[in-house]
Amino acid sequence: MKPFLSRDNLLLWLKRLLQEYTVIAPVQAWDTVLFQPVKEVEEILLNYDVSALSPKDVFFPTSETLFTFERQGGRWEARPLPEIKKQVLFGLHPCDAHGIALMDVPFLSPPADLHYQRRREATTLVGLACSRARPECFCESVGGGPQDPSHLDVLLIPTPQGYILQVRTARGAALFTGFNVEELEIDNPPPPVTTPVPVAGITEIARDTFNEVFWERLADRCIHCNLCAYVCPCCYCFDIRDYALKGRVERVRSWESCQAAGFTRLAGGYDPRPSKGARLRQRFFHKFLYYPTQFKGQVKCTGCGRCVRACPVNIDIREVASEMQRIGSRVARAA
Amino acid sequence: MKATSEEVKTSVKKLFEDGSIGHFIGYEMGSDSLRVTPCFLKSGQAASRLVWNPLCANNLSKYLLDFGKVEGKVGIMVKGCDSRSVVELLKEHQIDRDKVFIVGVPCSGIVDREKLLAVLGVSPGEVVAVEDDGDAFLVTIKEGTRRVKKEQVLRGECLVCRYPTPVIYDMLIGEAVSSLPWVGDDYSSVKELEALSSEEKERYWSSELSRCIRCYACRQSCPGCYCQQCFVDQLDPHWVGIKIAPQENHQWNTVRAFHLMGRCIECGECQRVCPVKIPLMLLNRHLLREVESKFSFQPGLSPETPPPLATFKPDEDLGI
Repeated sequence: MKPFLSRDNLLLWLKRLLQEYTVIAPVQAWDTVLFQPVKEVEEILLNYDVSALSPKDVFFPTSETLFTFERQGGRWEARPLPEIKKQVLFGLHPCDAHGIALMDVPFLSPPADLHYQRRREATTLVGLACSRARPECFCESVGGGPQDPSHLDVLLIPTPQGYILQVRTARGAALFTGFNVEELEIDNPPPPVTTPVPVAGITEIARDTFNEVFWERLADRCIHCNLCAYVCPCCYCFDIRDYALKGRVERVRSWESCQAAGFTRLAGGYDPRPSKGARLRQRFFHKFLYYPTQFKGQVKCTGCGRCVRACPVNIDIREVASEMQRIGSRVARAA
Repeated sequence: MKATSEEVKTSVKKLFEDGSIGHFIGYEMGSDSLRVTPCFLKSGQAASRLVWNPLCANNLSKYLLDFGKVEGKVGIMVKGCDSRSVVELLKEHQIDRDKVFIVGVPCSGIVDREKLLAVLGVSPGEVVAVEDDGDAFLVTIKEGTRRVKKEQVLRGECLVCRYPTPVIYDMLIGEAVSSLPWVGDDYSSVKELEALSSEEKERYWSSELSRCIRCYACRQSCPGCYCQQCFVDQLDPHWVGIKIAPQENHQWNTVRAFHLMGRCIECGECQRVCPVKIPLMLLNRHLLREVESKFSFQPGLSPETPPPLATFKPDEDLGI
């Protein structure tokens, strides 16, 4: 017997949720799918493939004010941070929850990023397992899966009859207080199968590819449009500037990308990553070498396939991973 | 006859062999059957990689700026729209006519990948090939071949394209296409927008630009955006803040559109790459229509005609 929500019960439960929480969910926005706060249950997409942008901006907004100082009566005073309401991030796929888990490590390791932490603590994650895989999906190759509940408070697995409910945490259980959940004798539907990508062992060989001409050749076609980083569920580069107005200073953090020319330009003009090749290598090295080495964990990729879909010149992380493995084993043989 | 991949391969191979070119910028198949990718050749042997099909969306002309210092001529494959950006780059002295060899291919429309998948109701993995077939595309999927009317699945820019055949070339592969049957009053959507009141326009654009994440992919893909330092990246004077918020998003998108006024050649790359699907071409084409009506000028047709917004005539009467 498994806890189970019929479609009607799910909608009923969501309606109740909306009264108490801010609910952020996938919606049809203009011509595309985006995660946005919803007012009505009917707006929520319960059957979507992949959103244009990942929901990482719920915790790491495209732009946010880190602090504001105002001059009052001849003195500078810090303004209090805005209150953050309890919220539910609903309908994210397991890969996007994986992305949030990968973001948690740098943002929540001491000293934690206060802004990220406040949002993260106010948010419950209710995931939606995938019923189909797009050809660009490869979550299973990077430690995830279409029904992986690991990084979620609640997982819903869609079946023809309704949704199998997996409540994973106390925070998740709190969403069901006073709500009558049925039980049903039902098997999990078979998860869709993703196409494998050779990521295993890539951290060990990545460094061997550092000086390869491959990176500059790959970058010939890169137009450093930054899209790969902006659509990525776990890329977290940012820029910080001060907005100085009369009697008011605001420090703002906005998304940035390591692919942008000048991202690493230092005072005095020196740029340690002056070419497109060096910047492109940085992207894949951060994912496959620096992150796993620094945080003693897995690669910083969730296999969501968004960068593959978005890249206007078809630089494909799946091909890059294969090529790194090929070059790495060649270098190892030569050594 | 329409140009085929085979003709492109043979012609480019010959160009390398007779010394006409030392480099070539073209398309090859990408990581799946619905994607092509730009490719750069240094010899005739590699020409077998080249393809020409209705998936060749990228405007390759901007890559010419990367080839300023190479030996020999650089060959480049251009569609009608792309050829107009080559004209603009020549006019604006960014490239040297003697250094480029333009291989033109008349184009009868490029497929919008997402539209095609939606119309067919298949997943991208199921499509094997897409071919041009007059007023339709022949799409080979695993179960067989389907014929899809072009109007249903063309890219937005191709639906209003006035120049399917390159306006400048050293060699044309395939027969010229004078006009596309589906192109009628190509400014109708612009006119609809122009007919709105100021408040309605403000509401419309505020809503559309609210989702801009300022990735600048529009700028990076635009053949007209080649400034060494873009105004948005300048720190002194600091024109636009980094905040991704309504005011800054408005500043970025409107100033960029103005910089392209009288220069945008409607390849639609900005809109193709926009991750949140902002209708940027509506803004660009509104300004294009202004220039067309005030100066009887269309950009990208002749390298000799000076750009109207960079020309001052004391006796000019614009009626404004």
